[in-house]
Formats: sequence, structure tokens, C-alpha cells
Amino acid sequence: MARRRFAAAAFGLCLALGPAAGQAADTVTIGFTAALSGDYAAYGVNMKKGVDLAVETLNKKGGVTYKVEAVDDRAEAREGVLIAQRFCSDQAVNVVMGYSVSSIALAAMPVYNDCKLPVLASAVTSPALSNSSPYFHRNVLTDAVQGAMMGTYAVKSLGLKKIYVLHQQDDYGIGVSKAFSDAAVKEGATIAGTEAYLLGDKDFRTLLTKVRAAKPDAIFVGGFYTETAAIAKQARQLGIKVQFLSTDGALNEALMKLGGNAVENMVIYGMFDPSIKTPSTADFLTAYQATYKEEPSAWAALGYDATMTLGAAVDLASKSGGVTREAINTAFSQLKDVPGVTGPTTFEPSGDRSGSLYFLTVKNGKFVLAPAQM
Amino acid sequence: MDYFGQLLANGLVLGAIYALTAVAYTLVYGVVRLVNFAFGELFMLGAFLTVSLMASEVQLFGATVPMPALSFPLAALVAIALTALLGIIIDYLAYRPLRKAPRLAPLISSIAVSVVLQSVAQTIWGSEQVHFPDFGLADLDPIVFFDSIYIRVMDIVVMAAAILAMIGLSLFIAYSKLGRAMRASAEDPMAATLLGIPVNRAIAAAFALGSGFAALAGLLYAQSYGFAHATMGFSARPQGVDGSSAGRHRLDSRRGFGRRAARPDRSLGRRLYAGWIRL
Repeated sequence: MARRRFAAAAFGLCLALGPAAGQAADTVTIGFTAALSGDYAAYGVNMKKGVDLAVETLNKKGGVTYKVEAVDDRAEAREGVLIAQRFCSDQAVNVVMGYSVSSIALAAMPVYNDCKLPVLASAVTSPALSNSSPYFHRNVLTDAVQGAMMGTYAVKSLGLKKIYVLHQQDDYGIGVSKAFSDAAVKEGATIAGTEAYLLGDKDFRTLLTKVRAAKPDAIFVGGFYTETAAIAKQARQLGIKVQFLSTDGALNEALMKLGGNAVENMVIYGMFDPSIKTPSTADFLTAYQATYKEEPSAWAALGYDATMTLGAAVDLASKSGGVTREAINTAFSQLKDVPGVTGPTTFEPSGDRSGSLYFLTVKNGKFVLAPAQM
Repeated sequence: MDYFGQLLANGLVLGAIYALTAVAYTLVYGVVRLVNFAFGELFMLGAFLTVSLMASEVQLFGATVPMPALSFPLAALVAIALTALLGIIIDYLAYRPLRKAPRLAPLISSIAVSVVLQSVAQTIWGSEQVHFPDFGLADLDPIVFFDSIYIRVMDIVVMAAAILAMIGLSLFIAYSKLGRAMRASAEDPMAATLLGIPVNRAIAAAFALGSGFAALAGLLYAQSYGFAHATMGFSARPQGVDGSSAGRHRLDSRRGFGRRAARPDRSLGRRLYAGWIRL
């Protein structure tokens, strides 16, 4: 009996899925994946808000209908591969967006490469992803670029001489810290030491005791906001009162929620800041605030821009034939200066994008533009 | 030397918290010979309840709910009382029906309770870390010893609270009527029943005390590290079990804890190990 019911259900499912494959031409389905729950959820949740807003805008414009199918990878690499396989085998999915953890995107790329499904990521910054596949594009700067700019900024604009580097032990943390250290050393600073920690670590006192003994004048944390907040907090408890530097991994409101007043004056960087109003960002800012009742973060801005870039690519692809996975991927590499709230988007052959960076600092529990920019 | 001194200070604070967790495990193990894995989750609930009671509003089930914004000591006491009550309820629902069952049955039941509590906490408070509110005592500058060892005022409070709680418990077990009842139930439940001791009430008291201790440890841990998290009990559990088997005390000893600790054949670690093999 149970088996017969199962068979009937499977048959019904086939009927339901059948027509979906046929309508791919005028519907573009975005497979969205990122960590949407857990300790590292803020990037993905913010990105998705940006994507949803852009999809709404694109759908209002008419023509092609956009649809988002979101899957939570919980910041676990094995989930990432399973999700990639799922998107690959679902013929309705035309493009994959999102990604908040570099190691997960790296694990998933071979799968996308095999099934020729284009990926446009917005929050993975590891240099290892450059040239990883002809189907990989991202509209966020790589750590090699961002970390190096931060290293130069720390020494030249902030005048720091002796910096201790802490980083999370994964593709993101290692990449960004190396770029930072190299640039800082080139500008004449010394790196007092480098230590790694694992994602999910809670106790940094032993590590920080070692840092204190080295007497640095700044600590750079190449990691995500959860650990960065904990490190800043525990450093204060151990009487460490030095300048804290971090990356776009700390660029989330959750940093202040978790770190309280211990993260005041921390300097970080990002590709977007709501306080910088230009004509191209004004519409986005008003629409975002009206929809979500909060200021957009850099991740929301990048998600929004990525979707708008996809819109431009789909328009280009439909002019030269059908909107297929292959056509969208070809269109990505042909796009030139697509306007966006984080600046114009053009992809390099490596799949990366060039752009500018803002340096931000925490003042009274809010991110503000740092007094010195580069 | 500076390095060693600071590490020692860090270790003492963490050790005090783990010792409290170990007391929770041993108290119940001593009376009913059950490793109550759910204490890890009661540890976590103690932290979450304190955080919630101290905040002016919290996100529960994704909705914002106004909270009383109690002071730290008051919130801690209420959280401990609530967790102790929950400990009694857990005993009543999950362990009491299995009192006469083979010893592994309540052990497995406790693993189930722990999974359920963790999921419940994740549903209520979400799967992200919740920030422990800043309060006056925690914001004081650390005290510096020998120019190199930094100890926060709250670290001293943590250690003092742990020592006081443990002395209080020893006195309670040694001299109070309920403490005597607990010792008697631990030694021989049948004889205790025949003598008119309400064994189930003594066991409930052990659960209440143990849960209170777990909650105290959890809230001190959360305070110390600045966050509460739905899976934080999971990481505290091994330390608690290790601690309780290393410094094992039995309640049937009149002179307090630790008299029969040197009995390797009965060590909890070995029993657990045997238990896992059989599983």
C-alpha cells in the first residue's frame, strides 16, 4: 500500500515538474546558495535581501521573469557540493549566485564546471578562485587586492609599525592575511607574529596572551565577524589596548551586536557604504530602506549589483539567441561597465572584477567612513 | 614567566567553571548512577535564560519580545531556579519511568533529552550566537598582578562563586536532612525506602541541585566569553564528564567528597567506555 502511494506521489511529482523544464526560455531561475543560518549567516542573509530587491525591480520592468531558489549551505563545504549537484541536475536553474564562504565555493566549482552552469558569486574573495573555472565570475574584489590595499593603508595612513596577524584557518583567512602581511612589510612595518584559529573557536585567551607578550601596536584579524568580535572582547579582558584591524569578513552589523564596545574604533574595509550617496545609489538606498527598514550593507549592495549584472547578461543573451546556461556565461564575459551601486562591473578573463574600496571604522556602534581614505 | 602566569590565571577561571559542571554530573551520578548528558544543555539554557532576563528585549522565535532587563545577580538567580525546576521535570518525564530499567536505558534517554533541548533552544533563540549584555562589574578594568597577569573583576567573581557553591553543597549534603536522605538513597535505595525516606524526592533534589549547578556554570561561562549559543553545552560536556570522573566523589561517604576516588574498577570513565562498547 505504502509503495503504491509512493509511486503515485512520484508520478504526480513528474507531472508537476514536467512543464517547468519547458518554460526555461522566458523564466530565469537563480539558484541562490550561501550560509543562511548559523553563526555566519549575516553575509548570506544580506546578499539575499539585495538579490530579492533586484529581482523585484527586474520583474517590474517586464520581459523575462526572474525567480530565486534559495538553499542554505550552513557554511559547510560538504553541503556546498551537494547543493551544486542539485542545481546542476535541475535543468530549470540557469545561473547560481550567492556564496559566502570561499572554501565552499572552491569545493563546488568542479561540479559546476562539469555541468557548465555559470556562477556569479558576491561574497567569496579567496584568490584561489581566480581562474578556477571559465564558469566562475564574482563581483567582489579578491583578497589579494583587498588585503594588499588594507596592508598599505594600515602602514601609510594609520602609521602602524608592528602588527600581529591572526587569521582563520581556511582559504579566506590565509589568503587575505598573506596579502595584508606582504603589503605591510613592503611599506616598512614588521609583522610581530602570525597565528591561526579555527572557525567556531570561542576561547582566544591563550592566543591573545601570546600576542600581548609580543607588544604589537595593532592586531589584524583576517576572519569573520563572530570570531573577530570574540577576539576583540577577550583582548580587552586581557588588557590589550591596541588598534584593531579587520577585513570585509567583519563588515556586518552583527560585529557590534556581538562585540559591544570592544569593537569601537576597529578599522575594516568594504566595497560599499550607505553614507556615500551618488545618483546611482539613491534609488537603491530608498528602495532598500522602504523594503527592509534598515540600511543596506556592502553584501546587500553586491547581491543587488550581481543580479542587475545578470539582468544585463540575460538581455545580451536573448538578443543573440536563447537564454541558456552557456549563453549567460558567454554574456558575462562580454559585459562592459554595467552600472551598479558598487561602481561599474566588468569581468576580467580570470572571472574577477576590478573596483574600489572604502575604509570604515566603528563609531558609537555604527560603521562610518574612516577619516583617512586611500 | 609572564606567559605562564597569564595562562595559569586563564586556566583557573575556566577550571572553576568546568568544576561546577563536573559537580552537576557527579551529584546525579552519585545518587542514581546515571550520566545525565542533558546537563550540557542545562548549562546552555542557564546561559540563554540569564542573557534573556538581562536584556530589555530579545528575539524569540524570530519575534522581538520585551524583557525585564534584570541586573546580573538577579537574572542569574532566576535562571538557576528555572533551570533547577526544568531538571526536576526532566527527571520526572525522562528518567523516573526508567528507574528499574537496565542502566543504559536512562543513559540513552538522557542523550535524547539533550538533543531535544538543543533543538528547542535553537528554535527559540535561533542558531546564531547571542551577545551577553555588558554590565557594570564586567566593564571594570582588569586588575594587574606582578605587572603581567591580568585578571578581571568578574573572573574573581567566577572563582569565588564556584568555591562558595561547592562549599555550600558539601555542607548541604553533609548536614541537612535532605542531604542525608540523598546519601541514604545513594547507598541503598531499597533500605532507604524501608526506612521511610522518600527516595524519589531525594533523587529529584539531586536533579534540581545538579541542574542549578549546570546553569550556574553555563551563565558564568557565557559571561566570561561574552556569548550564549545553542550548541555551547556540547563543548562543555566532555570537560564536565572528565572532571567528574577525575575528581569522583560518592555521596555515601560521610566525610564528604573524594574518599573513594581511588577505586579504579569503579571509575566512571571506565564504565562509560564499557557502555560505549556495548552500544
